Amino acid sequence: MTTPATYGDPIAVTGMAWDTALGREVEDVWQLLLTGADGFREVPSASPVRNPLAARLADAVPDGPLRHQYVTVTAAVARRALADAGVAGDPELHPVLGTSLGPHADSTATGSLYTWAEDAGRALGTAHRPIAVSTACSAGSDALSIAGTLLRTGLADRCVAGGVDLLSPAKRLGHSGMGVMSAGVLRPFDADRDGTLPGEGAAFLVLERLSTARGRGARVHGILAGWGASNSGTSLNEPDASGAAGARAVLHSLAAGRCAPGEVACVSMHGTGTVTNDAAEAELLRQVFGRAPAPVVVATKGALGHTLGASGAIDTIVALLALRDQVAPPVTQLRTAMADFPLPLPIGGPAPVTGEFALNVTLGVGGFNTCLLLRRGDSRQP
Amino acid sequence: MSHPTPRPARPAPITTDPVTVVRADLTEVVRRGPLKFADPAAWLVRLAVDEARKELPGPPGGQVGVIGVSEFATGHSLRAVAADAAGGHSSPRRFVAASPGTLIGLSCVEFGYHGPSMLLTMPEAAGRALASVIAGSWLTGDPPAAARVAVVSYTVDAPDVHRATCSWVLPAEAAGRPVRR
Repeated sequence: MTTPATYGDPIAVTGMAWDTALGREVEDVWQLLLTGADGFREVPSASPVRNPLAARLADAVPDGPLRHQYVTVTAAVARRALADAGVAGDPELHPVLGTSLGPHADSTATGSLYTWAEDAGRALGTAHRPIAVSTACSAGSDALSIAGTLLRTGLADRCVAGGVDLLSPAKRLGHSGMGVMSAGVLRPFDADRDGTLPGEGAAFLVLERLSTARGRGARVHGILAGWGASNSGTSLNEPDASGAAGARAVLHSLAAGRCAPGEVACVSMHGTGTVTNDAAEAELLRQVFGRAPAPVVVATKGALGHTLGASGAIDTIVALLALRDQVAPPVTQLRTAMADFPLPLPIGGPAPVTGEFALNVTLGVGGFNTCLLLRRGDSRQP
Repeated sequence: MSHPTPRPARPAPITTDPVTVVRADLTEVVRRGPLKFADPAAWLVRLAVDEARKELPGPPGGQVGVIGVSEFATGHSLRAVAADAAGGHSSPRRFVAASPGTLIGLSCVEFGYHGPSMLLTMPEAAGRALASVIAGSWLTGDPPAAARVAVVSYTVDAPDVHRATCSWVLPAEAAGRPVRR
């Protein structure tokens, strides 16, 4: 144990970085999201898939075996997050690394699912062996919640946490074969949505106690104010259509963070563009917010693709930026909101955000529902 | 309003003795019902959880948390998916079964557990130690996230030794109940 447990000391986000289909620089990608841009392009596939579109990283992934690519991208993005936090080279750092399938569905020799994480930790030069989490599309968010637990219980003083998932033949074939791949474009929460499209990305955030951050004069991007999780317990691959399971995760995060639904300014949803996921999320929102003042919805997959285990971490950064600038990006590719959608959706342009709190919801195969409660941090530096 | 309030000290959770099941051949683990397609390791984990349930009578389902620990997880299905992909095709069910989290997702569905859940894809000893911390935070949080938590690990000790080990982490108040220590 490095520090006595400090449950009253908020958990600050002091560094963040990503690699996405729209680029690597946080501010540049944020500005592109605000314009409604997307990062999809046709990506050749050796085998037929339903749709050739995919949101590949804007900058080339390094050549080499898929596992090597995971290690390289993870270490590079985590290093940039640490640099952003002003703590590059901290050997006492605790890495918490999330992925869904990682590089493992493309190798018939797959053995340990830990080696990529261990290699990434080695590349980062940390004294502590990484924690690895694989809860499908909730992995990035769950990595952040684990980091929060380590900090709150005093088992760590600083963590770099997030998720990564890269495009691969098995993932494209799998989503195509499951029938969840759109034949056209990914339109979250659209009346005409017909499926998701693959993306690749990575995002990592540096977390430490607020007292530590303030003590060293660090800029605070935001506060991880609470988190909640549930398992749907209904299906391995379908979300809980009633919305109840996801709502439990959201309500727990709100209760843990002492935040009322009416105080939430924006809510980043999983928004995969599949008929069932988006319908389940609409039910979830209806149950949580009822007649409370309606927060604005953020949904990024129309721009960045479905980045699976990275999406929770990517959307955490987006939510923090939305709070900072008090604006939500338009939902890229959304034309007509699905009937009776309970919250305002930014269509065609950004929407104002008014308030201090945001939620980030992810739903994953295996029934993993996770919600992070985020609070606004410092203003943008001049 | 916005800061989590300092949490009062609470007694540490207790952990029951582990229950272990071992099989030489994963494919011989009994699989049945609509989720028969799940990875055989997930069925071995389910078996371990079921055995542990017998040690701790209680209401079925509910706010039960599950934390899995395995660096091998759904390797059987992952390798099959990789072979499919190399041949240019994909089985939808096999693809779902390959998702590592289904290692414990199966038990959540089978037993109606809808508390928080987590899969740590890392070595058993370090993973179980971390799982105890996470389970403790779920049980003693304000509000608690779970009434009890199953910590279940799956390892391959040798090519023909597949082992799943499950123990319960319980709130300290459960110490008066008939549970093994």
